[in-house]
Amino acid sequence: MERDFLNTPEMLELARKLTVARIKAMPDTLAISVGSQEYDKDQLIGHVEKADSVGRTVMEMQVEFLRDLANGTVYEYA
Amino acid sequence: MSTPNAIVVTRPNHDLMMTYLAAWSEEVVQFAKSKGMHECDLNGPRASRATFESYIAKHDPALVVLNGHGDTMTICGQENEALLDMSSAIGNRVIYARSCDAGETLGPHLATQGATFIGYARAFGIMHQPAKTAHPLDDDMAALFLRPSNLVITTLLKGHTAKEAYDRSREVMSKTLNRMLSSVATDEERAAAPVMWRNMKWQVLCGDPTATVA
Repeated sequence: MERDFLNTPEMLELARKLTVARIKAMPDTLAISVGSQEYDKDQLIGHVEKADSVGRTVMEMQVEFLRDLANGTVYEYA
Repeated sequence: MSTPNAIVVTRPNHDLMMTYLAAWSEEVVQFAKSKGMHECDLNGPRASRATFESYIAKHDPALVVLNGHGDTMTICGQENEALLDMSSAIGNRVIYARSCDAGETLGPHLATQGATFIGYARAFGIMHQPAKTAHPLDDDMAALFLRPSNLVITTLLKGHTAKEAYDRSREVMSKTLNRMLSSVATDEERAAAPVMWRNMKWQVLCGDPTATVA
């Protein structure tokens, strides 16, 4: 997947909504560390809403996973 | 003068992610010691460029393990000082880098110089339990990510090839991911699946797949 696949306003908005919904469904007992910071749910949602570099990384992660799940790539590795 | 069977491990500890990687790397430092290797443990402030380059020159290690933040062309040490970049001459060693993005450009570049590089071509991430941050080794969620990562190193130290180490790690990540996607997964495990997939999909091996270190 290309790094800049969130390259249209429509794709970005779709990814933002989808990612925020998935983060809201995460248990409160988890945090994620990517790069130099750890992020809880609220912080992650803030970054995704702003679509800054952290937010874009999280959006890429979620969209890529769902795409690869849907097209079967995830199961090819199993 | 080179030291036979030497391993260099950088373990910066200036933020939470680095603290986790440093703690989980203790296991591989001890394992290397148990295999009779000379371990150069560059922990905390010792994970500086000057110390790193001095150890490489002095001990000529077959295996270099780097924990540190990174980008496509750099791997860092303590306080994000660049330890390895496009200007580095690392030779024909095996390198394992737990760093974001370095597998995209730096890894292939080092491979053209004779190194064998295992790392990540996208952000390397972990999920963890905030309640366990004071005791990273007790964090069961982080263990799901860091155990398969450590397997790259321990498999190499057991005398297997770089390709076997790469495959063994991905095999365990795959098993963990399958559990995360199954009906028996907890909510926490299910939420962690995209991060596990990202690490697994973008783990790369550049250079000689038959390279060994022991």
